[in-house]
Amino acid sequence: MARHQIKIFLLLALLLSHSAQTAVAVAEQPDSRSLIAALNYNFAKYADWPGEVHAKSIDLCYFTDTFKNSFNQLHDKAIFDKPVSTRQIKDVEQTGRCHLVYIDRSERDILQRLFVYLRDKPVLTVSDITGFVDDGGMIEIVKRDNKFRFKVNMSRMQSSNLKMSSQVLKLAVEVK
Amino acid sequence: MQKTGMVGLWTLGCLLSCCTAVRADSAPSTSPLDLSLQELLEIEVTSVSRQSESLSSAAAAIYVITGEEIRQRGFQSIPQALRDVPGLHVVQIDSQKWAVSSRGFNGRYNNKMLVLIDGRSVYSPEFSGVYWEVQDTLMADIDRIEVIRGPGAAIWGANAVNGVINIMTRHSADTLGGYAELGAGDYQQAFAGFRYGGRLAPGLTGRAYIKAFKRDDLEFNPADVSPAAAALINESGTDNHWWKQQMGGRLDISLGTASTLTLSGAAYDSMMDQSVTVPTLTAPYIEYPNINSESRGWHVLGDYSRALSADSQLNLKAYFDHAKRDESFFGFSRDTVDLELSHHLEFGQRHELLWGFGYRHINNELDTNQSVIDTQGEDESTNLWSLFVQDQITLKPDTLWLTLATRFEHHSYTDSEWQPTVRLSWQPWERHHFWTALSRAVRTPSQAENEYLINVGNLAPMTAFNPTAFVNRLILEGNSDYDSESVKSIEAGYRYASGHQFSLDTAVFYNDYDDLRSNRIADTDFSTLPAYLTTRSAFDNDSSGHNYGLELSANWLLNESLKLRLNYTYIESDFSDGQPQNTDAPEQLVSLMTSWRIHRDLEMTASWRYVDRSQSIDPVQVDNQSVDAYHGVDLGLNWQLTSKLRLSAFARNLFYGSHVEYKAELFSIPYRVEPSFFGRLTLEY
Repeated sequence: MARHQIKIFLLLALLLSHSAQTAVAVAEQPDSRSLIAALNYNFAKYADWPGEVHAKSIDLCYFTDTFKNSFNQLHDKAIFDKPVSTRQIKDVEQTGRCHLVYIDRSERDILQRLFVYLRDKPVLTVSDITGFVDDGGMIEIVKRDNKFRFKVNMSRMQSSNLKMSSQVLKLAVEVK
Repeated sequence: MQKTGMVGLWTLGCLLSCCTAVRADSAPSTSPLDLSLQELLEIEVTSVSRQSESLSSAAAAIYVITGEEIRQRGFQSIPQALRDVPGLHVVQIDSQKWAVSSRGFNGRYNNKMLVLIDGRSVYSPEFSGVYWEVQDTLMADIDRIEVIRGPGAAIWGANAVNGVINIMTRHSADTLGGYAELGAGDYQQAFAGFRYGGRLAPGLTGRAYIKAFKRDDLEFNPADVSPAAAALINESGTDNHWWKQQMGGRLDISLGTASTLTLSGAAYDSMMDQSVTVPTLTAPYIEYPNINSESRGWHVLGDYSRALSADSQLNLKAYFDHAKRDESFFGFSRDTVDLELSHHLEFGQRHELLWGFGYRHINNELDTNQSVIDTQGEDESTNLWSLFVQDQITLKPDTLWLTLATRFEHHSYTDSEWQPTVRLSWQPWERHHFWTALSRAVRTPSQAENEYLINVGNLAPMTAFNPTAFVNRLILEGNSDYDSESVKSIEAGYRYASGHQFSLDTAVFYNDYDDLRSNRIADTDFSTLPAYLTTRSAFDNDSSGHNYGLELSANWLLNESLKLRLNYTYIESDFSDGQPQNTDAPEQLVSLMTSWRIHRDLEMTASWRYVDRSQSIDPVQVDNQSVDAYHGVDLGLNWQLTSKLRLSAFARNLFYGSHVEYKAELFSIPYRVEPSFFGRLTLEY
């Protein structure tokens, strides 16, 4: 019995002592959530909303807690003369006051209510849910060869009176 | 055993020393916010996250096993994945059979856990409980497994007395492309799985899979039973190997922007060798035939959902499930039809309402040609009607929530039942969450309790328990007046999440059980003399009791590549019959788990578990059978050879030798779980 316990302790001790050295290897790349927040910031930077000149700030919204840290990093950013404001929202009805809303994978269940609610409203919808642009979303973030890419549903954006700079469109893997 | 242990340690040592030599080229650190869109698209995405998962605001004891953990730790079956969940007692009975329970009452026929796969109940009405050996899917397609401890009946329905296990498969849009796995080992002799998913049209994705495996015998050790039984068992054979094959698929259809439809289905076939206990009328009055049994089934499920507005959504779910089992002592053929309509509605700023109704029809044909189990029932069909409503009220935005829910059910065997719950959830500060709940839940009678006749054993003549000159057949009779068992439960919990590195989830509970199953000796029947005497006893609801306990799960992200998790369970119980039906819960369960990303392409997992001593009831003997405490270590190694190909090696139950995890309450003989190893090659394209 005691012998087993010693083995287990040895195992744990080994694990802990070696981990500190190797951790460096993976540490310094930005994690995927920060990248997604940065992508959202860039989409907002190149988008045009009707009546944007009257807005006090550009409001970027997201749903889940897991994106709080990465979106919070956008706090001191500005888009032209407007400060960026980020906000966590809980309900579909709160999206009406956002310029951009990011819907992460865990929120697939709300998509249909979101599309019904936002129909033709000038809110830029971004998501990494597969099939998002086919189902009625505007920008879908996809992963190809371990890098982020995106697809754009232009007709959906146009019916909501949103414009997107050609600089963004030419980087998209698919525009429909 | 000693040898295996040393080999394990050596392998580990070598691995560790190799790994220190491996260093990745680390990229200079730049904030992605300073990069242009074009530059962002050039960055390699790591799956490493700097943040622990979000703090759950559920007012219930909930634990989630992610698809990622299933892949990392090499879980090849659902019960394996459940092993280290806090509050769950998971034991392997023989090569095929498992018993899974939360908060006591574990058993092969544990009747107080509700298990759902994509919303389809896999709870069997014959004995109540789950035939875990046939609940399967391609493990790589599982999105997550949610384990909710405590009564969940108000929302999930009857029999969610001590918990709900909710297995959810991935959306087919998330399983595009091919997946193949191939593996072999000692216990997992061989397995293969293949899936292909594709986009069939815009808004229409699907996948299909096929899998098969062959698993070896667990060892029977004569020391685990009486010498007389051991001799008989060895004579009959102790094979318990098996194979199973299954195929299935899923289609996700987007119907315009407001509606979605999911169609899924699967079919399986399994052949299992097993030893069963069968009472006989001649000396030695029991035999242990080793027989081959077959289990087959298929199901189809449709799930339609339509958004009516921003705050209103309608959901319609329907499934048909066919299951057939053919064992020498018992067999059935069962068809289930289930319909559920639910409506999710938010109104005002404060109310989130979920209401709906359901209907389930089960037609179960018992194979009465079997010697051990017969039925006295005439009607093989049962109906279950249910109506449920839940209102989650925001008392103070982002801080305080009250949930009121109840379910009304009407089952063919019992009267109507109310199963209410009141839950309060409080998040006074961002990182701290408190919850408490009061609930009542019931467990509806099984077919066995209602109408079966079970020959549980025969007593030899001229012995202490049978001083007569005749064999005494013990028959346990179903009782049509048998009522639902019920629990009243109070629970409370606390969760904490530091921003990055540490999170803690604790729950305490007190359960008060009433109308628990007991046996009442009814009469002795002399009409069958001189062949034998018959002593009949019937099920009734005269037992009661309570249990209480603590469950804890702590998570550390020591750094970007090393995670550590500790799960701990403590439970105390007090029952009027000395112990609850089936099994007395082990007082303590401990699991310590690590996952370690050694290098971008190499990761290792290790877990150590300790399971305290437990006891189970022997239906014939007066003494309880006890199972000693045990522990064990699982190891896993995943090596990403190329972006598409992964090689993995797994070892289970190391450093403790072979041991019995559980002695089944009926029909089975004890088998030993021993250290095992397997390798797996996975291709994703």
